[in-house]
Amino acid sequence: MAVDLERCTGCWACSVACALHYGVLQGSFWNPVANLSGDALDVPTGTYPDLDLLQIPVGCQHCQDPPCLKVCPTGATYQRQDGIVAMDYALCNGCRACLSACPYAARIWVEAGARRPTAPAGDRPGGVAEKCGFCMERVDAGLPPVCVEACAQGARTFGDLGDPGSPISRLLAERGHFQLLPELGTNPRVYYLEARMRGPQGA
Amino acid sequence: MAEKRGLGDERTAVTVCSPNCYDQYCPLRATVRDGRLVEVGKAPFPDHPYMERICVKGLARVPWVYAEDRLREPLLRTGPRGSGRFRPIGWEEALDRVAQAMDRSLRERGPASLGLLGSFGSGGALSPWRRLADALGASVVLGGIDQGIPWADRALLGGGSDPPYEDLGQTRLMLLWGFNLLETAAGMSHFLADAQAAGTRVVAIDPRFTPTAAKADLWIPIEPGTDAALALAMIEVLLRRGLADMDYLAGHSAAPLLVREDTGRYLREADVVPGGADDVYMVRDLATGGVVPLGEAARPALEGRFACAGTVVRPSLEHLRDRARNYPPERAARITGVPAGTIEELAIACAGQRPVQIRPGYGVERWTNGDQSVMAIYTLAILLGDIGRRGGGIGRSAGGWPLRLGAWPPPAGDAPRPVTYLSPMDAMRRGSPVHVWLMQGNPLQQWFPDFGNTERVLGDPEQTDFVACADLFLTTSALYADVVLPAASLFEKYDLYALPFSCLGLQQPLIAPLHDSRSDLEIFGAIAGRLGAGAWFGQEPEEILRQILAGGDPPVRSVSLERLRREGVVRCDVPEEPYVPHGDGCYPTATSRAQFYLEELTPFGTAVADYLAPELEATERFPLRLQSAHTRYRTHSTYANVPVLRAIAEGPLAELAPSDAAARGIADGDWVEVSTEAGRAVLQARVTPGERPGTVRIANGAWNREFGQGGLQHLSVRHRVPRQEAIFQERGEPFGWVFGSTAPFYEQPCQVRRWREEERDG
Repeated sequence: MAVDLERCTGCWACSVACALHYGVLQGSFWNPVANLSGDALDVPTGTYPDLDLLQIPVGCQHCQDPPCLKVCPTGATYQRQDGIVAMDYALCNGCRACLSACPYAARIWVEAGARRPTAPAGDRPGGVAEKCGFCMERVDAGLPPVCVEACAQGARTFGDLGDPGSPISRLLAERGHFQLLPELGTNPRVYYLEARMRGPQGA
Repeated sequence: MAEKRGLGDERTAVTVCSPNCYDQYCPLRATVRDGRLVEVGKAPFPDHPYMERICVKGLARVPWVYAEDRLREPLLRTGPRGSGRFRPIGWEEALDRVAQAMDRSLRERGPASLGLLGSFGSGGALSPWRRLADALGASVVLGGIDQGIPWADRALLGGGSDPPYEDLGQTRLMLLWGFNLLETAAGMSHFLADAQAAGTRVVAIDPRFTPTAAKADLWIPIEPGTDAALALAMIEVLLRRGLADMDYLAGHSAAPLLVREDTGRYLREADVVPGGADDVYMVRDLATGGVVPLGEAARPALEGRFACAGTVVRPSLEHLRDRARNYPPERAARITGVPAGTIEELAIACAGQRPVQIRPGYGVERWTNGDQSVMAIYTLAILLGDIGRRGGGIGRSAGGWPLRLGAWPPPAGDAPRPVTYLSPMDAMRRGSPVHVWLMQGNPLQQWFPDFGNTERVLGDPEQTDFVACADLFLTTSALYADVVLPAASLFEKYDLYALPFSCLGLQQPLIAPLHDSRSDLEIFGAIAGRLGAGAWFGQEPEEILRQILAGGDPPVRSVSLERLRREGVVRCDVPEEPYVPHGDGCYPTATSRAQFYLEELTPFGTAVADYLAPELEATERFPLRLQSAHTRYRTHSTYANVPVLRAIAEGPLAELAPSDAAARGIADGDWVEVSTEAGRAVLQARVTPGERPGTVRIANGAWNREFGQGGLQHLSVRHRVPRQEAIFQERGEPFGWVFGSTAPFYEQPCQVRRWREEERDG
């Protein structure tokens, strides 16, 4: 997955589409927007008028070396052949080790009987640690992930990084990009394409 | 029905999301499983992919429909008005009570005592409140906001000037002038990203560092309410440096038309030639030196001053030159806070990077001088000369080939009764003719300044007999009703809309009305029936829609109801290429030209736009300015109760600059009291460097109950501007009403102080 920060406006459409499609815990998101420039929602950093605002969606990074998988005692967290870090919710014993292990805070703890805004898609009992599964059931059916479809700006590209001719591989070859917290060695499969520099603002 | 059978009892259909955002209406894909709406998303348009759009709010329609506080049955007030005490009653009793109150008032006080109000979040072509007003000859209460841009468009350009979004790639320089596109027209944001990728330079002019300003190539912060001074200074630069498009001005604008110094009116043929026409405008022909009708001049003069018709005359461009000379960039810099060098560079950039497109936002005009601001910005667009060119021009909305829906005619043998038009400020005052209020939606929250006054008028038995409101939820307006009528949602009823990109869109019942709700059409029809006006609502919705389609212009007639039922949103039979407003050189104004000199405003001294200082002056008591803004998480008061959106942005906040907060000992998250001449409100503070020092901002649309005390409209002031009263009028179809002056929602002087919990009862 590549997220083009030139196009992403931090609007939360992907977050809400995901939360409602999967019936994520009321008030929580698998894929929230994080404000990298300020503390609170839509708050920029700097001193008026020399300001900057950078908000990016951060869900499961589908690490090639996932810390959550290493600490999972039951095998509920597993990695598919295609690299998707997935959950077998039937195996989750609710120990929550993955919540502590994930450096991206991508895991949501859901109590048994917790309220959900919509009926949950897929078989997810309560008392499990949930997260984004890259919409693998949709991907397997040839559909794009929900967040890709919900992005009005077309900021998200999903595809096969193993195929050098795929649109996502070409994008990564052409554009400057980064991974979140690369120093941890998790090697995420979510890449953020850099926005171009703007001139000095507040001229 | 527009459906595609899937697994089990599941179908998808395309409908219209109709909350009245910037571009008003969007296609929405709805999935219904076992009679329940389960998901919505972007509707596909393989042949016109640019028409696909979605936003965070539209995606949240499922929890909106099934919100826990959706009204379940009609309610009757049991406590004082506004107390929130109600008991459920049946539909028959509810409708009887509404009709009896209206009937009594009709007989005792006459039809103008019935005040009917709609709201743009809850109805399209089948919106019934206005029809009931026609049937009864009631008072129509509407306006008081957002009239400036449409007025300037009509008065200066003849209307219909919105440049189409799909042509944005042709634009070299885009001025988003107070227009926070990424939040208020979120579905259209891909056009901006595409244009920027294609090389369009985007400049955001805004007092606040909005998400749009963050994405712009250049953000120009400006002192709010001073937009006219910036536009006039840019015009000064263009004229001084010879950068205005003189060919356009001579060929398409009223710049050469001569103006009489004695009356300030354009010189007519009748002034010069006995028996001459009054609608033939005169110019000086440089080829002959004579004064001739515009159409006969080989080279119309754009300057000069000479005696004619017993007075002195000058081309109207000279008047603009005079005005602009008062606003050299150095002076404008002191007014606007924009450095003179930036103003000079921006004007030069506009002249050098054409076509230029200007998109003004409504915030610019929510001021006592807002009419002058938009007039000045439209004047700037005329001088740049890109109106009528692909990628250029000026406008607020998505544009597209013009569509005209047909009428919903009166019943046979009947005709609309004359109605009484009232602005919200006129209707909600002592002595107003209105004694019974019937509302569709939540207008009290959105249009009526000074909520303390609203409460006084509605609580005064001398002034108010009865209040009824139809809506999905117990909004602020419904809270003050005597009878609350639960309305069906857009997924549960029929309606028809004209959408951007020359489309028509149908709402049709995809699920059954929830609980005991009924469509607005059914509700108002039942009331009409009890008042002897049932014939006005005697048709099935499908029959009405067929009439509206059949009576439309050819593109509308090209679309059948059957096709709309199948496809939901249909692009009318219009040319594939983008519509270029005024591309044919036609300007249906008084002078048949793009005109920046409005002779009818001579009595106000603003025949040419001027910067007028805001009438509400900041004082020692109220040193800050209270502004508002629309966020991407709500549309007006719609979505305020949707949990998934409240999880992102919960309630209203008073946004303050760090310096203003520090001077008052206020920290982020503190409870504060915001006060104005009109009243006070208590809410939490958000300290943000994105807010311009000297301003306070509270987002539009929060219901009063979301505040600790008061609400946003408790702070807004009633203030009339005679000039605006005179000019904000729709003449002719489809409106034909008087709007009155705009409420200065963004201008109010205010103060903020820390508020402590122990003050709650004090």
